[in-house]
Amino acid sequence: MAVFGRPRPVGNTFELYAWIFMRLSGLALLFLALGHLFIMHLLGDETGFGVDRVTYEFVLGRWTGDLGLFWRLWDGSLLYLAMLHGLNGLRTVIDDYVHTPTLHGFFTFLLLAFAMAFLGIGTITILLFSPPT
Amino acid sequence: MEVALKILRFNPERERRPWWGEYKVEADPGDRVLDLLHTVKWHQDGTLTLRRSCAHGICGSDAMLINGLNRLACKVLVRDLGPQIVVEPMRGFRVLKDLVVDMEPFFAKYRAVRPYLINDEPEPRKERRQSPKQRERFEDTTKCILCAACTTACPSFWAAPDFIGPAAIVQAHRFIFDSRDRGAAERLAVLNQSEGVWSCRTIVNCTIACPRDIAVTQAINEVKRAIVTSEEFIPKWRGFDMQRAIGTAFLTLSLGMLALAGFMTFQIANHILQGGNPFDQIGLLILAPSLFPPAILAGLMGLYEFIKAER
Repeated sequence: MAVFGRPRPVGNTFELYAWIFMRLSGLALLFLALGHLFIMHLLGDETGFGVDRVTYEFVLGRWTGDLGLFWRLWDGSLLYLAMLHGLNGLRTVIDDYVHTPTLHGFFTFLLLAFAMAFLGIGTITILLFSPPT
Repeated sequence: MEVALKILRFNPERERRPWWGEYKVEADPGDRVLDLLHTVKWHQDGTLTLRRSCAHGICGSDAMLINGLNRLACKVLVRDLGPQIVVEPMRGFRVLKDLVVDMEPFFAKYRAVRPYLINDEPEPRKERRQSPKQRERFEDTTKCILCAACTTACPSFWAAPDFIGPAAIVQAHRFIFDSRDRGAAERLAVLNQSEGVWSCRTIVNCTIACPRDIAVTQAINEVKRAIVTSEEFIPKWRGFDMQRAIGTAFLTLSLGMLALAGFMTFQIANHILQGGNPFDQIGLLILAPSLFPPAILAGLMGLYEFIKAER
């Protein structure tokens, strides 16, 4: 099924897409992380001011309230974008400084395992969290 | 004035490690560092080895590390450096002797980007014409003299010697944006690798080092952009357009920040209306106004992307 009217690009375009991802996720993170900072550390209400009012109940209320889906989406995007953005940065550091193939493979694997573990824990929490009855 | 000159000497055939040669040289403030090196070689120590050819800043032979920065020895004056001058060979290349380094890897990368006109179209009867505006597009990168000052100032190159380096990208830029050339896709394919433009971390040492004042980092980013917006690498599905996608991202960001800033302003106003002291909410008071300039900037950048996509 030929969808594109031109031959497939030659060579590896991974770095190209990684570069675009860094730019776009960086832009999104500016908004997501600033918003997160604002909500968690600056905004105040009757229960307290800034980070003082952030308790288990606060997060519970956010995630299970009327806007629960919105906050879970927000925290999920923050988790995925920040994690992948940061780890891709680390990957380029490894590419730059580790030239021994074995060590390079080892560190990249470590990074990948780290990413999978944390993204896994985060995903399970965000998707399956339900208020205690 | 008397100049204390320190030169990093090394003869790999005889010596195990480099050593500092120290020389006292009588100099005029208007003398160039090259004149000092000549004085040492001609009158004090004939074994000092260096490269130089035209001695007027155009052949690119005598780039070296002078007081910690890559410069041309024939272009930098003693009065701009003071009475203590330290000269080392360029970093990242094998030293052949003293200030002379092995430039072959550098020129191999230069050849890899095919730095010559590629155009298989039948030759026109007269010359291939070009408007001043088309010429202006790559004017800056025509100034390169291949001295390697930029490449050997680049930390990405020091860390990964396989990196093609700023100089080769500048040379590619000179032809990619030439309206008479048809080899852009070939060159972009060479540069679209991890050892190509994607090893550039935008450190801007290259721009600082360039003795010809080329905006090297800008040229590299223009090449990155050419790859990102080229149909060769990112197929256009159903009218998907990278430029418009970037524009949309910027506009969304702008609107988001404006909404956030607006909401904060509302919070502050609400607080004041309820009789509160605005300085209770010092965080909001600082953050709200400081969000407006980046929001407006992002909005303008988004609009700019759209205008460019339209043209």
